Amino acid sequence: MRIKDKKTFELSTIKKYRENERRLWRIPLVCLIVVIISTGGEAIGCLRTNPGIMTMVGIMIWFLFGTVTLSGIPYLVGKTRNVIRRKIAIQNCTITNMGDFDYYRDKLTGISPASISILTDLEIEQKKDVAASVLQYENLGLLVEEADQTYHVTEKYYSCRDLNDSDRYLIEHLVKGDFDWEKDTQWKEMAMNEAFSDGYITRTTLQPRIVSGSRGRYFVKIVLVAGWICWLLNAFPRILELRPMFEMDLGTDLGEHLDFICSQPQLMLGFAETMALFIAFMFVSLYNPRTHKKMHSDTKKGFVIILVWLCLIMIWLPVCYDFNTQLEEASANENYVEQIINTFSEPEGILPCFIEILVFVYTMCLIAYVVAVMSPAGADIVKSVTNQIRRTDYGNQMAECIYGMKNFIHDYSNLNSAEKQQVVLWEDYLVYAVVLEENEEIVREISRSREKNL
Amino acid sequence: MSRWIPFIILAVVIIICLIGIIAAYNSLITLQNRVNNQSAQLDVQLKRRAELIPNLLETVKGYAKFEKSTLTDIVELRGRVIKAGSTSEAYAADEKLGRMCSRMLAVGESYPELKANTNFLKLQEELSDTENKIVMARQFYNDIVTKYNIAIQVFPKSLVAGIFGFKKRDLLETEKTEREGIKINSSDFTF
Repeated sequence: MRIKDKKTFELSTIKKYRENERRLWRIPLVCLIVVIISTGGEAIGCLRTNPGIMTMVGIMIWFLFGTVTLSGIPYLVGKTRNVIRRKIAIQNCTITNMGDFDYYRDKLTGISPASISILTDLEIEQKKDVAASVLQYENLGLLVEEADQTYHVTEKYYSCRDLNDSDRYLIEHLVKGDFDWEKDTQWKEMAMNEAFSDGYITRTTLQPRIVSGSRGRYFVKIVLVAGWICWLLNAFPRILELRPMFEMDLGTDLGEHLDFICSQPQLMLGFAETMALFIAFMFVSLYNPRTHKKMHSDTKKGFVIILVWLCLIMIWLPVCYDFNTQLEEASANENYVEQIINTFSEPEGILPCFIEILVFVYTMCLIAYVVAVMSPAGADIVKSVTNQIRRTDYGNQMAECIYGMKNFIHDYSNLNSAEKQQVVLWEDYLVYAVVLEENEEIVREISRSREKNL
Repeated sequence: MSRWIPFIILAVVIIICLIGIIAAYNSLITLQNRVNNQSAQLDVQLKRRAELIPNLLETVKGYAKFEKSTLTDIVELRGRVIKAGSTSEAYAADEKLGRMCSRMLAVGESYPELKANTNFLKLQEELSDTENKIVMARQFYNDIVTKYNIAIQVFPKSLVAGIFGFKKRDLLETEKTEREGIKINSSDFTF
């Protein structure tokens, strides 16, 4: 049997993105309903005047076409965003298999809940990690929660020398009652720095200087904003021209819309300009001026994809134009919905109609892709690359033990239903269960008491 | 064609039932193996404590004088832990052994020379560590046995458990005397 060389923490972040992706199917469904409601009458009219299987096929293809047209952009934007974010999350949650064990039963001595959290997904989830830390302080007898949900420290706290600076900071602010569970960044930063100094994580060799400094960030923002402004300036006159077309009925404007897109190479050039600016943006933000060589592999893939799209535009543009001209000549005054549906009653009309639909869908996909990559997803790629940290070998070994511990708690215990008070019985294992997302009720309980206190 | 429809429906139902039975059987087998595994983990810890006893007796012997019956009891209980046929038997014997050890260590505290002995201190630490591990192993054992017992008692897995003979397992419960804590009697040692 082949041994897996990677292990992935199945954390809620990954599950959340998977769930979001599944929910995206609602968009085409809603769009289909909209298309049926808005053009259903015309479709029934066609069926009455020309009953037959081919008309039925035509109606179905029309509904499909309308659904894809309406839902294409939002679906693809959502999909791209989710896929990229999920991939980043999976990448952060994946460790190298070194010991090849599934369970780890001993206590993870000397490692704080925050460091455990960082080792699982290279990030701190403040609410959960603070809750786990509070539980650990209570278990160690350093912190006591009063009946009115305030905290006070014990004598042991003053004599305890094993605490990190982040622990002391957190305890002191919890006792004062001014710790902001959502927005406090100092604790997060301190915990992250401790993980670095303990040798669990390190920064990757790729450190884009431009983005890491404040000047660089401004520069990137300026490039991005400039790109959008150029695109808008380029597209604005045509948007004005398009306005009357959008005011028309959905059934009659599609042909003109398609005609417009295909007969205006400037609009395509506008997209090309945007992509060129996006490439420049990515290049400026990701290129490492120190080595002048290394670039993140995702960025390289992104370049390749964009270049392929550009080539496809060049190939498809004349094709779009030709077919559209032909169709325009063939149907000067006919209702577009009826025309598409009726085309299927005449077999010789199927191919050009099908190709036209394909061209339109393709154009929509292209726009969606550019929008998706340019907007938040693009920002995500940049963020993930520029803030990238990785586990050291020692960190990877610890992460593997944590992975084994999560499996052990999940498979061998009922800690998912344990209560906060049971920390005296389970000691550190309950803390691990909280930080490893095996028990979410305790996080809610601790958060609730905090909210009441506020 | 129509006369085949009932047979096709029956075949589909049988296939679905078979898939369900296989899935339930596999999950019960997985749980049973986890129970056995955790039981073995607990045995390891129980035996580990039993193996520390001769060292403890050897160390204590030179400093403190114990009742002969106390020492005999400890040796006998240690033998019962090592030779026990099941986890519950080993655990029952170990509970008593644990109490005797704790009593012995507590008595040892009253001998300054013994208290200063590094070997004694090391043993004390090891026994305390093993005790904690036994407690945790028992808790995990009880949790996994609870999961297993629930699985074999809830419908429809209870049907599969009944067909394949999956038996309910007992939880390891603490004796009342252990809950009351350790009491040191003057008869435990002689001056």
